[in-house]
Amino acid sequence: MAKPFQKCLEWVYKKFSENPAGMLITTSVIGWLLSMVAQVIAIAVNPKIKDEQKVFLIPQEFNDALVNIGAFLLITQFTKRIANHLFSTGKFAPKSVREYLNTSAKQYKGKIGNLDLNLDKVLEHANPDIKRAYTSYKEFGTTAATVGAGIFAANIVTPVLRNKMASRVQKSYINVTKSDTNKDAVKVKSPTEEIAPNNQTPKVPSPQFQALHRPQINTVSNRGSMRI
Amino acid sequence: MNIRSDYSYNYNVSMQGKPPKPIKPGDKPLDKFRKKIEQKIINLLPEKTFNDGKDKLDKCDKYGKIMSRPDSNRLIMGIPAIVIQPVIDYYNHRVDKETRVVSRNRILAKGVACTSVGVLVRGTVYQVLNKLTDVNGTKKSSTALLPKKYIDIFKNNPKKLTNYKSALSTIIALMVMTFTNFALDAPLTTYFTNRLNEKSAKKMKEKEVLYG
Repeated sequence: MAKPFQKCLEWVYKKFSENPAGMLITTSVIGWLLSMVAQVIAIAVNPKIKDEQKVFLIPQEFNDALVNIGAFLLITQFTKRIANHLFSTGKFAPKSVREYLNTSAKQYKGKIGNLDLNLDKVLEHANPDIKRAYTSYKEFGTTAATVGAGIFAANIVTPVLRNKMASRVQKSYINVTKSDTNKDAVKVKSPTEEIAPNNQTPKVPSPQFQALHRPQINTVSNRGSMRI
Repeated sequence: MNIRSDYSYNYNVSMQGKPPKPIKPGDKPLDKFRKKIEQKIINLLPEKTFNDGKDKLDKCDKYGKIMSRPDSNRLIMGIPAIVIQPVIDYYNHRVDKETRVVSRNRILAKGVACTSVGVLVRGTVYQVLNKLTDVNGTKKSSTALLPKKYIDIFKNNPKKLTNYKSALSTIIALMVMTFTNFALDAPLTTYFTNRLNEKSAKKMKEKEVLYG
């Protein structure tokens, strides 16, 4: 029992101890898809929601997952990269790091803010206080930017886009339903007139048909005691 | 040795980016285009220097830790969802009023249900994982979730330990979520949605009676 479990833990170490970032993105996507499936099933089996609303809510949930995944990859990940590069290239830096770069001005002249410069390597052997200041600001800045971009992507971009997509699906469903009811209405023929196929002259109803469907006139009943 | 200079407090590795890479002649066209866009955006922003007093750095560490913890991160992402998304759905005039009300109620119910379950699940996994992956712990269970072969490597390389914990917690959370999505999130969402719909229907009837 212990050996297979240890083997699993060793597999996690071998695969992800160097760089878990790719796996974290994949698991986020899987999590979103699982949540979408659960919510779609919940909507479909809920008897208290009408069909016209289900036709909006199910595509809404489906598109919510897709747009969330797209927005996560395009907006959140991109913002994270930019925030990380701003600190790693020295564009945004704490005071002690700025002074360190200025004392080595010749070495880093013209490189600040350039993707060529990677302060993670430059400060590897620097003073621990400088390293601490750099790491603290870089990690805080990158985390704050990632969270902010995530909030914007998930709560502004995603709802607006998914509502637009789901509304179209509901509209086409309503149009299809309306055209079906119109077709059914056309099939009902009036008793006095028949729709003539192929532009032929309309048939006149037979005398028996007319007699059956003649509107009833109230006959005068023999009331009172008058005898004729 | 100043531990902070060696490894990150940041529990959530997914919030940290990769180091910058310059444009090289052998880059693929898409990579070149991406790096050019990144460089242009970086060039647009002015240089900024931050005050790095001890209190500022302690605040950065404190708030960064709060934002990167799985449970507090879920709460930070969940609260705007509960506040903003129902409003967007209610004012979606592409659909009729009844659908808008039901959509608003469902999104509100989903936000409350999923956020509360998410915070609970992630918080529990985080606490349990921290207790069972403590390389410096004295109890027998302190290293229960660490591969015994590599415990010494973790003691000397905190970054690998952070990466390992992040990966393992994500795998465990995904396994738990597979169950909770169907067993807790969806039923709770349905329950809250139906309750909110009943209340909305009552209010609409009252308005009809009052105003005709």
